[in-house]
Amino acid sequence: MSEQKNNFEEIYYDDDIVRKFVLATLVFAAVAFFAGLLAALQLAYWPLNTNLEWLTFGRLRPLHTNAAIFAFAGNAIFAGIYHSSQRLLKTRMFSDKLSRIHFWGWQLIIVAAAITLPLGYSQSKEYAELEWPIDIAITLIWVIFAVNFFGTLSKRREKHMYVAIWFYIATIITVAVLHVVNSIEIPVSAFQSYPVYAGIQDALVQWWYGHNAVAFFLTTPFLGLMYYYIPKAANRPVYSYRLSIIHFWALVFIYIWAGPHHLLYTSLPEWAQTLGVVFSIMLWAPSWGGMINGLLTLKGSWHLLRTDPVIKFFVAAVTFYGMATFEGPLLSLKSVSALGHYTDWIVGHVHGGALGWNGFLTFGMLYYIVPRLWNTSLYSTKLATAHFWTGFLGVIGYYFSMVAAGITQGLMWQAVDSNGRLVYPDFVETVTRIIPLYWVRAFSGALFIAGFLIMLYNIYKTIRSSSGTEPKSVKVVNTRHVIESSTDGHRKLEGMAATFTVLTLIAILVGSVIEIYPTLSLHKYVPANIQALPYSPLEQAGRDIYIREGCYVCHSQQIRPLAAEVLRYGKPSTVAESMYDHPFQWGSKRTGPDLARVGKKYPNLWHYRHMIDPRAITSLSIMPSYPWLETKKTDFLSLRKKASVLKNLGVPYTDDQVANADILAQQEAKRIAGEISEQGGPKNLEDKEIVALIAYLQSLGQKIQESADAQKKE
Amino acid sequence: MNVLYLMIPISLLLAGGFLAAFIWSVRDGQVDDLETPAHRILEDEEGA
Amino acid sequence: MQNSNALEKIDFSFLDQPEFRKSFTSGPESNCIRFYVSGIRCSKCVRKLENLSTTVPGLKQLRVELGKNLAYAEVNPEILNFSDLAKKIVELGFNPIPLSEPSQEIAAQKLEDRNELIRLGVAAACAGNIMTFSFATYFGEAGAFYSIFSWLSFILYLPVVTYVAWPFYVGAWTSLRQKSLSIDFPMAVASLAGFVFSTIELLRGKHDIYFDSLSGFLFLILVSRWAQKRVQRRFLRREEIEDTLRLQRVRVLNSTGWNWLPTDSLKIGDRILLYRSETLPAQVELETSYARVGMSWLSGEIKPKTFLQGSTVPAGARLDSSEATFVVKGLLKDSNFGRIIQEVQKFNLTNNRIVSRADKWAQWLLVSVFLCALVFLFSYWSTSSEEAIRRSLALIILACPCAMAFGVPLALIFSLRKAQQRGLIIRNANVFENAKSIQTIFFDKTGTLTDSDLTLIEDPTSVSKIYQKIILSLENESTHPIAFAFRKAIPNTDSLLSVEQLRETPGIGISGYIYGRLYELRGEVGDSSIGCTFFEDKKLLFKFTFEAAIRPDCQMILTELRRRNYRVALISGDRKETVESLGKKLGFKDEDIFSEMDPDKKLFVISRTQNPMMIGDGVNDSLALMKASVSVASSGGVEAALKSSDVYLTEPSLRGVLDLLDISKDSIGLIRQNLLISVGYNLLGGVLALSGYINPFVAAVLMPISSGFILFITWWRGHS
Repeated sequence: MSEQKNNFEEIYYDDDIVRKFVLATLVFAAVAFFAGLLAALQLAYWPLNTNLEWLTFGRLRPLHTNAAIFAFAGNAIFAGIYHSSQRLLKTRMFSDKLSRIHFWGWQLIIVAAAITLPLGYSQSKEYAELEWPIDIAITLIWVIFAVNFFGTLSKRREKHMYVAIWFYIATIITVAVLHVVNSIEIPVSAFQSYPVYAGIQDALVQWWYGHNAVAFFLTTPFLGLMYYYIPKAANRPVYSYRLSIIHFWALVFIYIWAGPHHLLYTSLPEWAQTLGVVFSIMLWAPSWGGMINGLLTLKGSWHLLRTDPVIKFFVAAVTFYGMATFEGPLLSLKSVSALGHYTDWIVGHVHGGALGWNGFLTFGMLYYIVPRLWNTSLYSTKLATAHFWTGFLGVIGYYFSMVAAGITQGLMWQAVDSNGRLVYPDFVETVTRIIPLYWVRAFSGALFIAGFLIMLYNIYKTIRSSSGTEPKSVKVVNTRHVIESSTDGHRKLEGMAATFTVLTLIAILVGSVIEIYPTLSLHKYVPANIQALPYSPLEQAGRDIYIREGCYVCHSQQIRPLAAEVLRYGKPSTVAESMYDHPFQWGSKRTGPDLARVGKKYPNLWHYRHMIDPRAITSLSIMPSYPWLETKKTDFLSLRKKASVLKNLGVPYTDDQVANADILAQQEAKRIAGEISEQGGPKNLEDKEIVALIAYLQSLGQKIQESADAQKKE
Repeated sequence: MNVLYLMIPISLLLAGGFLAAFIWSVRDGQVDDLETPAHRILEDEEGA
Repeated sequence: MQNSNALEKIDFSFLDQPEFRKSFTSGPESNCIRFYVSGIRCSKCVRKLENLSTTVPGLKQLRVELGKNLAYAEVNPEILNFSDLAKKIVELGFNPIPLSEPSQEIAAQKLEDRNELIRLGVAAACAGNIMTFSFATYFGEAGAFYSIFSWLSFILYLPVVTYVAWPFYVGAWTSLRQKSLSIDFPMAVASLAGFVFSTIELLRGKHDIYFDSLSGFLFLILVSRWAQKRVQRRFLRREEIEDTLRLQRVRVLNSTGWNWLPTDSLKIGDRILLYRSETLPAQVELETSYARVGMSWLSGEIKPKTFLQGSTVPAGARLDSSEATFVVKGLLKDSNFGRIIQEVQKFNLTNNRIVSRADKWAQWLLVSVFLCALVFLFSYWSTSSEEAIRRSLALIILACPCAMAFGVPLALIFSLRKAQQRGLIIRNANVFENAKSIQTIFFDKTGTLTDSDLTLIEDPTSVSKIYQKIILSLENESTHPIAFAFRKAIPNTDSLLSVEQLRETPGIGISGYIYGRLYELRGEVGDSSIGCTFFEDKKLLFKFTFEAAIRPDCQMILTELRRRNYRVALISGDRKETVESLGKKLGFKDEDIFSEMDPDKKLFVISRTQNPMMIGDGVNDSLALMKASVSVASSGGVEAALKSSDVYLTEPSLRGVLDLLDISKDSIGLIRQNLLISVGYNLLGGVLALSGYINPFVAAVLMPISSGFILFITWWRGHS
């Protein structure tokens, strides 16, 4: 609706889409939180793994992380972006249709994730577990979102792009690039694929993605939201707008290279590790710039902290952000990483950020916009305050219990007595010691959820009391000409939005087109006399089962060159040992021991009994039981296709191996099954999955041959 | 580490893209007035 | 927010005149205008103003720039004209003053700022990425990627050595052509030489590659320059005084009446019309038979002067009578007043002794550094050419005359600013140095130690109430100091009586008929006092005497100065008794009281004294003031005062003298401290560099740190 004679138009913001995203946020918050609670309880009390293959911890964890990041945080981000961008740019979204496609597409992706992940369709790459069809869907929906957003930018009626908009732009572009680069994979079936990267390459790409996903999905968009909602809620301008612009550009230039700090003391080359450390530390300054700016915005309105729950949530969120962005660089120091890596300290760090920063900022934002979106007032401030304190206690309890658990476990792993022997040679000892802390964590999580449920009720009542959602019109000027008297009146690159999108697409295309498979050789890093052997077809089948069951969630496969670790697990892992691992399985957490050199350590029967019931071997084990492995049949036929794909990716299978992959696997399976029954186990296991898995486990650490046997092929 | 042949160009492209964005924002006058925008957002016609 | 009643009376119709639009509007269709709007303080104000674009038809856009109190408006001229827009702004409670378009200078400055910011961005991006790759090599990567990373550093350095370092090359070349060395020179040399050296090393496959240090160093230098420029600009901003004095438009008479025109468009021969309290925007000849005009800003005389038809009235004078017309004889920018406006606002550093000395030292430092570097290069070449180059490069990068080139001007700017804040107008910054060596301070009497105002000595109640009223009624319109004194002394409660045939004769007195009786007040200026006799029908009724009061904080200031061991002396042209009585009251020693001093005698006394400071009237004491080491004008018109004095006190208190002494001490102390630090740093650093302990990378880090450190210290000490 625009009036020709006047210099303004009356428009309506599309708040319907915001409402949709808000509701989706709430729904999937419940899913993510409860999945998390179940997972926490499973660690404290293993029987809660049930005997259902879809609910074991290994399959539940990716569901929890994806739900928390993409379903909960993702929908919250979209709600906030759609709500704030329209108002900041003084225009309605570019296309209502695209908005809705974005919304429904995203929810469908989440549902697809919720179905596929428990079914075990996973790539085992953290925060990128979803298989290739969903990866493609994510790319499509993201592009639609980008077009919608940049289109809105191009028709904005407010010339100045507020800093929050810049954060959104950085998010959209960078997440797109990260996702595409990390998801370059070759499908082997409808729901399975292998990444083109292997071993150390995959590790680097994965954590380049992983850390920047944290940065550009969980930090930058939330900073953008912070810069909009805190001033609005407190009705005060940002403390230093100049600082926000400076710290935006600083952040965007530096973040990209901090990824290697997830790979310290691994077989990643030294220089790459140190680079990650240095950049992680440099990141501290711009991050705290944001925190200070957010907090000081409330200067002069600190009394609101007492009365307004929205402000409580925001202040707590920013404080947790400060904590997490200090702890992050701290954990990046090599000595600290040596203690904390693979322990629950990292889990504590993550959840301090996820619950404290992302969670609380989202809650604050919801309490702020829900009443406005439904033309009413919040049902109960008291309940919101109760939510705050409950949730706050939950976060604190979670954080401290996990940091304590992590440090305890880390110290116990490192403990060596005066004779040079491990003080705690039995891994399970280090687990049982921290189970009480697992209970504390589960309880804290429950507190957090209790607060969330209070919020659900509060919001429900608020929406119920709404008189209707009639949109109110807004008057905006017709033009956004540059009114400047200076000679520099160019309006260059008004189509900057288009240029951006094109640049991004080029980057993506370039990345996808460069498929490096034949050249992905690691000759420079592998000494000339070392030859790595690829997995045999049966071992490969077992590997895929390992991935499906999510074993990597609790077991790492990377021994660090630290004294106690070498004592416990054997020689440090080398680059060559994982050079054919598509995807890499270095792992990032040890709820159970490292498996890099578990091959040939125990007889096959041991493995059989351990899988069926871990407590038969280790009475205090908290590992779930996997009884279905002895009833499900191995898919031998697909091995041909798998071997062929892997061969194309550079794994040195012979043509014969590829053509007869299934037969070779069956032969090997028979041998192993025979050994198991000889050793006293059940018969007729040769076509069952457990045999494949055992084959794989027995191969770990066994794949390196010195040059004398270089010609020998398995 | 051949994957660096992919990652370095991509990172440089990203960095270049952001530099271009920065240059555009200066030329367009986005950084001329760094005081008023903080106030402008507070007073929307619509309460939300 | 202003009193809207007063504002509503302001006539904005001049905004619609076509001549006005030429110089005040912009945009391709001349439909954009800038206003200075005081009173915008908060978000609500921003919103009220910006929302006008949706409530006022024809207003396409209105944007506020909070920090500068500016509002930009774009209108559709067919629907809305500027005067109505201005009225709308007034209705909201703001006071809009239209601004002429910024000069070419300001527009160019804006473009330059933007380019500098872009240069900074490119420098940051390149330096950051180069550092990524070079750190990788430092951290142990020696394999295949080593050369890739090194070549990437080279490629990323190309934009730095060309685009980013360009201003340094230009500056160095310009200064060389003027046969001097500016601080750009070492930067340019470092950038280029470092580039060449590193590239050669790269081609030879060696490891002495310094692209990271050089790019980081150039980036940091650009940042510190940027910061310094902003600080300097903030303190040296020329206020748009013309706009505040509403000098931008004037009523020009024509055959039918008059029109508002911009002052800039005045031509010689135009006839202009002024009303009471408006300021003359040009030098004129009076057309009306008579006009009373105030000249205080120009000459320091409080009493308005009367001009008769045909006399020349200078620009800057304020009309005191109700209205008058004039013919333009000279333009504002050519007049004294116009020059004062520019001079007073502009701090001129170029003549400053300290700065020129600092510049010379900076040059000497640079020359010595280069000589050292060259000598070292040649003598060490035979031992190790690479090492020779490396150490010389380190020396060049490290050496920084920052304290001199940046620190001294910055310190002086802060001191000037501080002085300005305390109400001191300083002609040039040499005064700080001179003030440090002052031993004796001479005070003039009238206007310095005493007010220029008169105060009635007698108790006004000794006169009956009816006569009080008569006196007030007579003096009601007078601006004579005696009239002010009466008005100060006698409270005016009731309405005044009407006076017939009121006549004020300068030099004689004032007279008029009230209730048929002739009343006269006749002034008498005696040697030491001013008196006034009051006659009724030629019969003497009362005699009044007036004196100039001692300025309130004189005693305190004098005591403080004595405490600081200054010798204070009183020097005046007045009669012995008057001067000595004042002198004793204020505690001056007998030998320090000089009375009946005419200007020549004053000059004689001053020239015989060592390191004297003289405080007096800018006009009357000009000879003595010019002779003194430090001269302070405490009264008299500013133009004249600044011809003879270093400092002009804008406030009546003598507090400014103490302030001047304090600021000078701080300023010189800070400058000396900076110079010491700089010398120490350069010596130590130079030795370490040539001994090989500091490589170019470390030098690149140290130099900006030292520069920033000095800037920071200066800011910190100067700012508080």
